[in-house]
Amino acid sequence: MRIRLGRFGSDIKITKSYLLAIFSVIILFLGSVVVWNYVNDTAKSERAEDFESLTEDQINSFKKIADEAVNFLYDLRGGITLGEMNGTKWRNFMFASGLEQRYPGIMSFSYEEIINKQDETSFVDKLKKEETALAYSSYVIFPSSSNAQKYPIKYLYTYDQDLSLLLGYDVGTSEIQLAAIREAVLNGTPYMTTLFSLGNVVQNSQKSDYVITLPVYSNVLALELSPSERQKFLVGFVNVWIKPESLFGYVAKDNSGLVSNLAYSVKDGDKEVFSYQQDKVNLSLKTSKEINIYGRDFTVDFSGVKTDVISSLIDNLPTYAFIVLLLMNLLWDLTMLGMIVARKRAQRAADLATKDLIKFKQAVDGVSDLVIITDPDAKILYANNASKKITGYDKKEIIGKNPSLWGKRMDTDFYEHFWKTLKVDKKVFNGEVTNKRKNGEVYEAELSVWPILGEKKELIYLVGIERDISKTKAVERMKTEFISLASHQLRTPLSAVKWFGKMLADGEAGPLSKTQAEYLNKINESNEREIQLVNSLLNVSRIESGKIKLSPKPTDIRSLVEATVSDVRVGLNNKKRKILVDMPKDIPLVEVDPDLMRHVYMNLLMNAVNYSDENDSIKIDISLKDGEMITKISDTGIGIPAAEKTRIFEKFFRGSNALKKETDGSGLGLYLTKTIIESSGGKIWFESKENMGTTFWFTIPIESGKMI
Amino acid sequence: MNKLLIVEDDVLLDEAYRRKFGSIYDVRIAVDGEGGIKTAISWEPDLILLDIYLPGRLNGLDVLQAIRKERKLEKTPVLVITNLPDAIERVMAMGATKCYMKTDVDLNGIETDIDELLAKQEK
Repeated sequence: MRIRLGRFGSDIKITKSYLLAIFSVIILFLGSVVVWNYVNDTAKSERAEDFESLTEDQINSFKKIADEAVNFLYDLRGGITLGEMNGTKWRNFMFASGLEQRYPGIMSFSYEEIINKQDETSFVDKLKKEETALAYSSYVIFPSSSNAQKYPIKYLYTYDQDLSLLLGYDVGTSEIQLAAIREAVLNGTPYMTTLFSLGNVVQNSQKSDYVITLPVYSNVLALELSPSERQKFLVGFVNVWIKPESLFGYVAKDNSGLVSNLAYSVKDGDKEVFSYQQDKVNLSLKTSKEINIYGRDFTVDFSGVKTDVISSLIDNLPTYAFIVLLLMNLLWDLTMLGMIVARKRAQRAADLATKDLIKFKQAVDGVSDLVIITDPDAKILYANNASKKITGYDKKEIIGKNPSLWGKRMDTDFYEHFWKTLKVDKKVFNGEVTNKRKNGEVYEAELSVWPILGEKKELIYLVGIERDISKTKAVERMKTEFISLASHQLRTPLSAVKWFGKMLADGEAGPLSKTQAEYLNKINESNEREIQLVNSLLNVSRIESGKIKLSPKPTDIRSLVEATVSDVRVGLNNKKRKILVDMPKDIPLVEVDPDLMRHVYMNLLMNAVNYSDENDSIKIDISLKDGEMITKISDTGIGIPAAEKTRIFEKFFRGSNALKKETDGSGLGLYLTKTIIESSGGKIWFESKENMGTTFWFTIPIESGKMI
Repeated sequence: MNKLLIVEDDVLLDEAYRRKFGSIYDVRIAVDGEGGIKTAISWEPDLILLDIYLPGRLNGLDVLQAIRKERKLEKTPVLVITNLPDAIERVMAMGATKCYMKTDVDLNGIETDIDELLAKQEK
């Protein structure tokens, strides 16, 4: 038989599926990343657009503040050029502009007039005299310097207390102011200073301002001239002072609704001059902008974050997509893992089963009996090693053939019984067959064939086991022949004794005295017993060798029993027993071998007689039940010892109490009785109690409808 | 006097036969199969007592077969008297007139049968 290995796939396939699983996981992961990137990029660019426009607005708002301040500087310049300016007018001008309403308290304006060092005193005196404001009563130009020209602040409008102290301050003493003034004069346009720290002028002031300065000319037409010619008409400067927090502190409202929590930091060169952040949140959007305000460059770093629902959804869309893909990936991985684990488990189970099968095959291969497996038509699918030893044919010659290759032709009855048992009854067949080896040698075999049935009880295989019993049989035959021959040889002298003894008793050799006749009688009796013993021995050997063949014929049991009982009565001699017979009048004819059946009754009755006591009764009871004839023979004799009950039907076995009671006896009677009954399809059993008696029952099947 | 051929190798049994039947029949005894056949053919007995288990090449069955083949002997009664119980059916099938187990009979019984058979034959 070919054992199929790896029914669930090989190790190679397992490895392949592992690779496939890993590959698919990688593909799915890469796919997730690509999709995530795409969605993320889309959302990012949308968000970036919103952010971009917002920051742009913010930048413009910075410029707008500066522009409005500068526009007012132009107005102031016009006012100074066209008319007589004084401190009162200066303030009135401010109030009239409306600038204070739009940007309350964040801008300060000043006018510095250019004076020569020698005119300083008259300038101050004139101011003190003409200006009514309290600040002018102590007006002084400071700090003192040896500069030929001075640029003291003549008019000042401010809410800043620190800055208000700067009235009279000579801006010409500040390099910062001078640098801006130079640029402004050169181009005739407003120009912004670097950050001017008030602490330079006002003690302990922490404040600083940007100052945008615009040159003022005495003639309006001076603006049409070249810079150098224009210089002649220069009389002073108008300035706007504005703090970084005022210039950059007006935060643009987030009108789009997409971006809030805008934060930014303004750098003047490397120095941060202003920073703004409303909440401390992680701002993921970043951008950086350059802005030029009147000749000065600023860098503004913006950062922002989305907060509203739509924004959050779009913002998180890549993450959601990624999570979903990851979950799908995980699910797929788990499925694959499950499949692989299940497959591995199945493989392991299959391996185990295969190992078991191999063990099983080795065992079957190795046994000494021939074992074959065939299909339902007896075509051989498997043969073990012993098949060669027993039949002489190689496995190759056997596989695919029919067992008739070495089997001798079965006779029709046997053949029909064989196939009926297997195919119709679907039961195991047991029998003995005579087969022929390849070399022509005939051998005897004990054959068992099992039908192996499928789920629907259909025949799928036949398993045949053949044991070569030639040697056993030969030994048995020799034994039987020996017994047979020995019996024959024993009988001949017994016959001579019997014949001469009879002639002597008959007086053919002359008359005998009473004593002689008595002795001779004992000799003859003893000889008869010897003859019975030898007969029994011979019967055993004949039964065992199959030489006694049952010749069943319809038998009238009633008359058979009656005849046997009367024979027993004759043989009782001096023994006193009552034999009671109870049997129905209408016993049907029973299909048995009458001679052997007579032997059965004789034996059981003689046992009852021999192993019971004087005046005991022996009962024979025959009844019919369920297609069987049941015979019950009971005595009240010595019984069978409990320990010996199992051995009572053994050949040559005699009960220990029976030996004491009756030295005579072969130990073969019950053995023969049982053999005959079972050969006739019946059963025999008994019940016994020591010293209480024994009852034997035996059954014989009867065919119904055959009445006498 | 009727001619009785006895084929029996056991000398004790032969003596018993002779003592029992010697005075009432014309008795000849053969102790093996070959002798039995020769005597039967040449002497043409009226009745034959035949044992099966015989020494030599031929056994009782061979003798029976040979006798039944002889035209002049085919109706001669043959009583097979043997100790081989398994032979009974076979010898009856081969044409024996009767078959006994030696231990089951005594010479009186045999004599009765012989007389009956001879009486039948004379009719």
